[in-house]
Amino acid sequence: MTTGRRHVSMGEIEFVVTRAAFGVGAPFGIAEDFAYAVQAAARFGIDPTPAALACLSHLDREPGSRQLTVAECGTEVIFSGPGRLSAVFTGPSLSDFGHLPQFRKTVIRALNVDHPLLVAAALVSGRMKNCIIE
Amino acid sequence: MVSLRPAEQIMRLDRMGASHQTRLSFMRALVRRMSKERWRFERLRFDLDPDGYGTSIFAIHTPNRTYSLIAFTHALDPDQRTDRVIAEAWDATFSLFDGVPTDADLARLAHNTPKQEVGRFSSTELVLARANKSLRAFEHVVECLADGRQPDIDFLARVGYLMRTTAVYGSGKFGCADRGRISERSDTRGPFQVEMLTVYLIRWFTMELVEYVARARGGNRAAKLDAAVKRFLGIGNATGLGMAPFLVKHPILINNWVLARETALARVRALKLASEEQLSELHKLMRRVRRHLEEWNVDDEIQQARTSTLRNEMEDFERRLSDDGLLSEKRPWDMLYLYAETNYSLEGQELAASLLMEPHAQLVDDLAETMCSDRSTCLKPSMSVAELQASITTRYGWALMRDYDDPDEQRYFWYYSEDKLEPRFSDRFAEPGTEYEMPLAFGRDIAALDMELARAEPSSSVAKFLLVHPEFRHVVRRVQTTANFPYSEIHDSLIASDVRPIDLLRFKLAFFGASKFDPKSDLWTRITMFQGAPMPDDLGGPGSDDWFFPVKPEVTR
Repeated sequence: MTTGRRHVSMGEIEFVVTRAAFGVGAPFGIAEDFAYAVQAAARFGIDPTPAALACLSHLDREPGSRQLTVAECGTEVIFSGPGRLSAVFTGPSLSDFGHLPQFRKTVIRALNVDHPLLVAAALVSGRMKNCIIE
Repeated sequence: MVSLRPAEQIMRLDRMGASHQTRLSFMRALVRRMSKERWRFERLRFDLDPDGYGTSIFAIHTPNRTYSLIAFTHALDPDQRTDRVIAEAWDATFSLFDGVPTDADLARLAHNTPKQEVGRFSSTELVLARANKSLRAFEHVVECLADGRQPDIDFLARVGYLMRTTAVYGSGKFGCADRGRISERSDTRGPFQVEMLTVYLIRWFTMELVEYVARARGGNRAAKLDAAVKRFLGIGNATGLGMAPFLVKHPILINNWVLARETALARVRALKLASEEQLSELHKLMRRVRRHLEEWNVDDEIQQARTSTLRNEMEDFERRLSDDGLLSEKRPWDMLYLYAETNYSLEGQELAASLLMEPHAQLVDDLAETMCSDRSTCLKPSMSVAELQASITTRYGWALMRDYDDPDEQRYFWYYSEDKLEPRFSDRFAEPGTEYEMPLAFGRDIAALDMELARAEPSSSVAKFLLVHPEFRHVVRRVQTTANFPYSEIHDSLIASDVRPIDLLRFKLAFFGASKFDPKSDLWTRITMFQGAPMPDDLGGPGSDDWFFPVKPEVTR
């Protein structure tokens, strides 16, 4: 990935983003998945740095943004929270639920996410298709 | 059929710390490939002043492409010469370039390569490295050659090299190319092949450099370095904790390394007969191995004592090989291996295993192609809690049986230093920073996961469990990733009071093909790489692959 005039390798993205996410309170496995999502965005030619930094700042300022609630409503599964959801946590969970056989034909919806781009990137890195991010 | 040795026997730290090179080691595999494919070597640039300072480009042409070692040699104040990672200047700095560099590339790298970690690199650079001279050895060789004499081989044998690398970085470090750029190339898809190639080229460069400086000093009187001495000299290396976490973080890759080695050993042990030819080759090797062991002397008391035991065991092993009845035994190699397993130290057992593989190229060498892996870790959210727990119970007994409430079971923690982003290892109860602990203690963490799973609904999914317990995400991923890879886990704690990180280093370095392990503490070791390997001129000739446990040559001064 080239951001501004600096070339950054995928290995560096993984190393730095994982530790940055861990540093703002994400458990290590979540931090790894966030790094994979940032890599996925970079592979698509999108510079994920501004969104990733803002997302990590939000999680740092609002630790409550990690609290996800899941509700099954008819043909939908809805992820929501007390405030804006952190993409750091929403991406991996959304991807996990999308892999459950009972939800293969269900719409999975995440409401009020801070950085939808990074949730989409998490779904790409998790190879999910049946999710809507708002 | 002979069964593979089980993981609970092999993947223990004490045995890993007794590992030896084999013919599957990465340096051996690289040299075989270079010989077989007739890689061509070319000195493209050698712009040095009479003291040997300047810029050089050494190219290697494979059947598919060209790689270039770009070397910058610098005058270095003796006060600045240190092998420690905190160093900021070195005698020589290197980049392995993908292709042939343009003048613009060279100008860019001249600005960045000497800065090492502080420089920035691009995806055309595959490896970044640096090396310091062994001042006494380098100067001795220059002085002798300049005077028309060969150097004192006994002195050189005590050192083993003229330069030692203090870091060799690949795989995306500091902006260099990610592994993905080279992982599909036949030249470089094997593990650590670009790093090994870089060290091999540094060795060649070092020999050219020492002869050049001697010629600049001695003029027409100067001698060339004896070919046998060149071949005997390797490249030194100082290796510390940076290597250790790699083994934990790449479980499938490590599985593939060990699986290849164990498969090779099982194939040899399963042979029903030993031929005269193989036996004769093994006799020849035994003599060399025993001489090598005599020449392997270090200050570290633990290693020296182990080497001393090993010498006795190899003397005994040679006697066993000379047993007249060996050729008529059913499965003679198996019998020899089992004898070693019953009677020798761990070093002796592992060396016996390496030795038995050595005369069986046809049976073993194809396995070198199976030692890479670019499979990433996986998470299976639809697995049930009960299935996950059953998987832990089946495969992680070694982790569950430990008492993690005992402080000695959690004495240490691993973390990354802020300044150099290098792994470090500290006493949990004496040093600050446990909140930055790296997740390398999978045994402890899997035991904690197991306890939490016991409280969860067995039919529930991993996805739902992780929604409530995201702190276990990396642990669940670990258990699920390693399920089908028997040699993916080290069956010991990496944080217990009795852990010796040097065991991890030895294991990895043996797979590299290193020799003359010279531990300087429990945390770092010196080694020699490519000692005995053919120089570029010798590749493809007879004996190209015959450099297992090299010995000091006879040289007339």
